[in-house]
Amino acid sequence: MTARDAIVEALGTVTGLTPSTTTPVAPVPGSAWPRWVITNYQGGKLCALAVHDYDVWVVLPNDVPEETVETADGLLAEVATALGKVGTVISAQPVAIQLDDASTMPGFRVRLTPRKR
Amino acid sequence: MASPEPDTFDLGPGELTIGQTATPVDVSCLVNNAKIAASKDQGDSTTKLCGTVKPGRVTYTYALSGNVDTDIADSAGLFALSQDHAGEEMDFSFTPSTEAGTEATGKLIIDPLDFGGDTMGDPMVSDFEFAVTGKPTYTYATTP
Repeated sequence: MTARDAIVEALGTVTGLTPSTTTPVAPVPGSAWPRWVITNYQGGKLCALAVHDYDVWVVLPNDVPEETVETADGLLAEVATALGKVGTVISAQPVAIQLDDASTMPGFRVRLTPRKR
Repeated sequence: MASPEPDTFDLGPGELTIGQTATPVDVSCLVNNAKIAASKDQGDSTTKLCGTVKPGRVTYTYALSGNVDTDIADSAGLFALSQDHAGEEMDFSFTPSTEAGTEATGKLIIDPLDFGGDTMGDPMVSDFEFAVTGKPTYTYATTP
């Protein structure tokens, strides 16, 4: 199983998320996907030198601000806990996810380093 | 004519297995660093009546040391092995660089790994130093 597959499988355990291995064509609230960020070739394990960092993007509801905030408050801990089972969670931050039509949707992204497997 | 520069290698990718010969545990993906080092022990020199000084006997002891992530949830992993078989002799095989191909094999005395960590949110790790029984055997990759 690849790191990307492991991330998607972990996201699948979080209620309300619809994970995909790549960025969906039309993200909707609950969409979640991993995106490769950087690979470092120092600080790895004996079995493999490369250390890959991923961002996991999660789309939040956009109807009313209260719903966005409440969903984020509940979802962040669940996503971080799920991802912690497949890697080391480094940070999380709010993001505005830009769509193809130049509109944006609220969301958050979680950076993690998947464990070697 | 200058001598050709000898090849040197970085640590990793490589392999480390520890355990009984038939059922070794491959811990390569836990290892942050590892090396075999020798400690020298030299006895006192003695001066003979004629004035000759005889150096003390030199002996070396070897240890495999380093740092590993601790797989505390795996009952068949290195952490469990170190706890369940603490003080026991185990076979090991260590290849610090598959490119270099040189392999060290032998027997070591496994000691318990640490349980827990220093910093919240960081991977739990443990330093280790396993005494090698006797001397490790080094097998060099054959050169063409």
